[in-house]
Amino acid sequence: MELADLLASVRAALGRDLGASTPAPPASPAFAVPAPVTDRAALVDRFCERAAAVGVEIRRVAEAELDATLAALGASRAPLVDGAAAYDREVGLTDAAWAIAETGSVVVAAAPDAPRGLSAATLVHVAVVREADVVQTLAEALARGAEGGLPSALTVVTGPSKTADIEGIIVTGVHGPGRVVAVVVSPGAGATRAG
Amino acid sequence: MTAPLPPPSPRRAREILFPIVPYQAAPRIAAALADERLRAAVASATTLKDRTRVETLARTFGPEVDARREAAGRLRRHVLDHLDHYLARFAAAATANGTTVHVARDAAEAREIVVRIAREAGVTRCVKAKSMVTEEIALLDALVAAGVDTVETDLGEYVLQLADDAPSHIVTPMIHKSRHDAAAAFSAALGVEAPPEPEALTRVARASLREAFRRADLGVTGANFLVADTGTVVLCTNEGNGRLTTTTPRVHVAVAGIEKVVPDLPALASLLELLARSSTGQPLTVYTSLLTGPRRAGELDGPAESHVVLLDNGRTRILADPRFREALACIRCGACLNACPVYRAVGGHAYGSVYPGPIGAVVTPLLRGLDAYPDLPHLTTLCGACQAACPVDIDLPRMLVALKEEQRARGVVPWRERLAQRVARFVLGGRLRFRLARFVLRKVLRRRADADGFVDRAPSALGRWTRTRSLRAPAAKPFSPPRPPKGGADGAR
Ligand code: SF4
Repeated sequence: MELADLLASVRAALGRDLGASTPAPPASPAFAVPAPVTDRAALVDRFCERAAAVGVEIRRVAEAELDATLAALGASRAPLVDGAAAYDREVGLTDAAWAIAETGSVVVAAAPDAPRGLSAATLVHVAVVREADVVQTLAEALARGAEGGLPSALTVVTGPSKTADIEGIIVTGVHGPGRVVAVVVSPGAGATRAG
Repeated sequence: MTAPLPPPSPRRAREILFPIVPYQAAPRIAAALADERLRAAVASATTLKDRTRVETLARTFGPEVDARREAAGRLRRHVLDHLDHYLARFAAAATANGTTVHVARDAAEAREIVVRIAREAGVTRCVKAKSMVTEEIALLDALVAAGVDTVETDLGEYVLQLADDAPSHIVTPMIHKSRHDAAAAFSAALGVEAPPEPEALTRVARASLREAFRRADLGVTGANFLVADTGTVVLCTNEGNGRLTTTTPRVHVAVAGIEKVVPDLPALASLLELLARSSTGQPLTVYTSLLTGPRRAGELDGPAESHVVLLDNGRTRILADPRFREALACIRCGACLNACPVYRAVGGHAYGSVYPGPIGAVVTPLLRGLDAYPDLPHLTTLCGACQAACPVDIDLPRMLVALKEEQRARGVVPWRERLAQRVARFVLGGRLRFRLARFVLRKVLRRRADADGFVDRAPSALGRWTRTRSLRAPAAKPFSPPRPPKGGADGAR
């Protein structure tokens, strides 16, 4: 079947003439919940709290401490590996394009220097989150992701891989990383704080 | 010339989801009701999920829960009313991204398309993510018959595949099976002895499936949404199998019903906000993947070829009927299954279809024919719990009634029901008749009641009803509202 045939049968089902529709989606009502958070520190705090609630480990560090923290986690940028080799890698390190405060998610974008496997096939996923990249909602994160065009794969990661398929009991680390660490980097030179 | 491949052996799983029609639900309902373990498993899992859904939505959206649901429902209905526009837009955008868009009128054509893609790409090993639409077209059997070694990678679906069983819930497919069933399946099919503990069993599946992921050259998924604006395929998974399915294999095929399209990213976000919360009580599924075309220049992984198969398979017929169009608004969250007193009691296989529960009771007769599934519109109490749970506010009870009306119009109402209606019409037709019937029934039932005031076995026609439940005995004194005085306050008669 061709696309044109499908569109014709859809139009016949809708009882309309060919090409007669140029719709505008219904306007979304203005919701009061969640209330907008404009203070960056509060936004970052909310991200840390919500991410921890879905099982992400939080490390809050200053820029100067980043390298040492990553080294301690066994996370390194080199060598880059493709998806198949990532299965043998214990720790995958990615930069988070954004982090979402309301849902506690980190957003990773595929790119030549950011293969998908690093956050999908490894045992541990370490994501570096810059405080400036924390947004409040999923909608904001997707809007930013679309600026300049979506990447081939944009993945919103909300916690470690998990299942409840067997008797509803939650087990983490099914196919993807069983451990996700968000290293939240503040631009200042403050001391390390526990998340 | 080599001999053609033998047809696949008839699988039990097929018969569960594709029974001989007209499908009779009674035997499976009786079997489910007799299976204490199954009933306990389904009831506890659904009750927990239902409660988690209510709590999560209330905690997240406060007083705006219903406003969110209604807005999401309006959005989905808008898309359906302009489906031609959004499908054309999606196809154009996806093509521009380098995705090949295919169109299938029915299940057979969809299977042919996927098998042809596999042949042309020369792939032999397939990993599959959980997808109801691929169950609907029985894709796994077709791939296996075409010589493509195909593995289900969702943990629940994997156990079901090994055990030759079929999913009974659209989100948690092995809700009807226990840890012991999973351990037995791994032992029999993989030769791996694991203790019947969820953690240990998950490790077994992980180890075995990692090899499958690593070696696969074809990844098959469904799609939770298709974004018209950007030509994006959206996958929501918790285990990560959806991601691995689209990371190493060099070919990715997503099969999607034509109703899955949404206008743009803001619309997508508003639906994702509700999907996982309604489904499992999570803010989002662990992985929400937005896949926009094949891997790009310089990227080290991701499919080199990406395909989308848009499936009609009866959907335009549903679209054409204004009574049922909104059934296509469904985002397959499973909340209506978890909320339904019938589903909770009998589980998914009683529906004889890929889509069980209230939404299944509506769409199965629409997709496969009302005459093929005459019992399904009756697997309801019309309590309204399904609609109240639905994140896109689908009026499932109204459609169940509409299907029953359709049956009456076609004259396929069972004789028992016709007889009951005639008796009711007669008895309710006069005050004296009604009082007499009530008197007799009260006498008979009170005599049979046990010490707690329940009737375990009612006589004659009512006996079928009490076979699986008890009837409360009538009160000693009937409730009779006083007659309104003639020419009373409102002058009504
Ligand atoms: S009908 Fe509504 S509640 Fe049921 S699965 Fe679909 S979206 Fe969820």
